[in-house]
Amino acid sequence: MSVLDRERSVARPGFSRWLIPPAALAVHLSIGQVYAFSVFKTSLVAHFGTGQTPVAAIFSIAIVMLGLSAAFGGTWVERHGPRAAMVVAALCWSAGFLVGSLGIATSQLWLLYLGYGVIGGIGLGIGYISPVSTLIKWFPDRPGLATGMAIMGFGGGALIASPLSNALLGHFDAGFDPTAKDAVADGHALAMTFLVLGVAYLVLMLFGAALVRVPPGSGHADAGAVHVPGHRGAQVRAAQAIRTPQFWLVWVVLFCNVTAGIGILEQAAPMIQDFFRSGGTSSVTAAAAGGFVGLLSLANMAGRFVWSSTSDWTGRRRIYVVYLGVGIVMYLLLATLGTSSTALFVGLAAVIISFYGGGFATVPAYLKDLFGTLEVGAVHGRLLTAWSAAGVAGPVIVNGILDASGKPGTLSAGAYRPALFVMVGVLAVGFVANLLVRDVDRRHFDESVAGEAGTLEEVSA
Amino acid sequence: MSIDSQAHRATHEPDPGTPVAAVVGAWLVVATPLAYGLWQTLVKAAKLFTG
Repeated sequence: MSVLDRERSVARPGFSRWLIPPAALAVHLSIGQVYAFSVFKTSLVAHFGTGQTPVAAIFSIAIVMLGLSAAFGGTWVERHGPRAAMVVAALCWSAGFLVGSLGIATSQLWLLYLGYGVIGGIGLGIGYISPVSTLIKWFPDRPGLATGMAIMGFGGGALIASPLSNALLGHFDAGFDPTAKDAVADGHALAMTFLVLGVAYLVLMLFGAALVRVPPGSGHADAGAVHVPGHRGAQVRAAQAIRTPQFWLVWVVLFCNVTAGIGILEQAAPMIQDFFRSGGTSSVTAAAAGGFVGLLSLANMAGRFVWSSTSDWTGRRRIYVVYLGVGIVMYLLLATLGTSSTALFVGLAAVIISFYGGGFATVPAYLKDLFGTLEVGAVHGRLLTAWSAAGVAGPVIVNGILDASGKPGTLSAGAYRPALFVMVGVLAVGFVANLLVRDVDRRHFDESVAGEAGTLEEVSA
Repeated sequence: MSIDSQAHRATHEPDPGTPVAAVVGAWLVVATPLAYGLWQTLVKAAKLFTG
C-alpha cells in the first residue's frame, strides 16, 4: 500500500495546483449524494413494509457517523495525507452502498443501517475533510475560494444524484414513474440502483485520489515543512485548538447557522405550500413546490462558492456577520412579510439558504486564519460535530413546533412563525459568538513551527 | 519551497510541467456530471414559475 503513503503523493516541480480542485470535487460530488437520500424514502418504506421513521434513521445514522468520523479521523487524515484518506473514503462510501444493496435484496433493514448508515457514514466524514487541508495549502492566497470550490461539490452532489437515481430506478423498474406522486420502485430496482451507484462513486472517488497531491514540504513529520500560519503567526495543533475559546465560539457559530438553515431546507416543499394556503387549498402546486426545492439546492450550492470566495476579500469574521446578521433580518421578513408574494418568499428563502451553504464552505478558511494550516484538517473534523448536533436540533425545533400547530397539509403561515422567530434567536446567539472571536493566544501555538513560515498578506477581519 | 513561491505560482497557471490538456480533462470529468445535475435542477426549478 506504499502508493498511499503521503511521501508518494508529494507534487513534483511544475505540478499545476489547478488539478487539486477537481480531485476534491470528485470526492465531494460523490459523497454529496447523501442529501438526495430522500429519493429512495418512499420506495424503501414500501419495500420493507415499515414506517417513515425507521427508514429516516438510515440517513440520521449516516450524518451522525459523518460528524463522529470527521472528529475522530481528522488527525489520521492529517497524518496520512489526502490520497490515503480519499481511498479509505471511497472504499467505505462504496461499501456502504453495496452492503445496503445486499440489505435491500435480502429484505434486511439492519444491513442498510450498517452499510449506508455506519460504513457509508464513515466514508462521508473522512471524505468530507480529506481535501480541505490540502486545498488550503495549495491556495494559501485564496483559501476561501479553494474550499468553496470543493464544498460546493457537496451541495452539487445531490443535484446529480437525485435525477440519476430516479433514472436508474426507472431503468430497472419499467413501472416506476418518478413524476407521479408517491411513486414506488420495486426492491430489485432499489438494490440494482444502490449497486450501480456504489460502483460509480468508487470509480469517481478513486479518480480524485489518483489526482491529488500535497505541495512539496508539507509533510506532517517533515522537519522542513512549510505550514501557512494563521493570524499573528498562529500554528496550533488540533488537540490544543479544542482547548481554545475560539474553537468553541466558531463551533457555536456553525451550529447556529446550520440549525437555522436546516429548519427551512427540511420543510421546504410543505412550507411554501402552507404559506400560501387559504381555505384549505394552497395556490402553490406540488410541482411548483418541487421547483422551489430545486431552486434552494441551487442557492445552497452557489452560496458555498460565491460567499466563501468573497470572504477572501472581506475577511472571515465580517462574512459571518453577514450570514448571521442579514440572516436574522431575512428570517424576520420571512415571518412577517413572507405571505405577501411568492416571489418575495422564494427570494428570502434563497438568500437564507445561500448563507447556510456559505457558512459550511467558509469555516475551513476561518479555522486556517485562527489556527494556521498545521493541522487545520483535523481541527475542521472536530468542528463538524456542530453539524451533527445541528442536524438533530434543527428538525427537532421546527417539527416540534409544527406538530403542536396541527396536521401536515392543514397548516398555514401562522404555524411557522414561532419556529422562524426561534431561528432568529438561534442566529442572534451565533451572531454574538462570532463577534467574540479574537486571535488565538500565543500560549496555544506549537512553537516548534509557529512563526517559521512567512506570513501572507491577509485581510484581518 | 517557500510560501512566496507557492503564491507566485498562481500568476503562472497552469505550470509548464502540467499539460493543459490534463488540467482540462480533469475538470471535464467533474464538470460533466455537475452540468447534468445543474440542468436537471434548472428544469425542475422552472416549474416554480410555470407549474
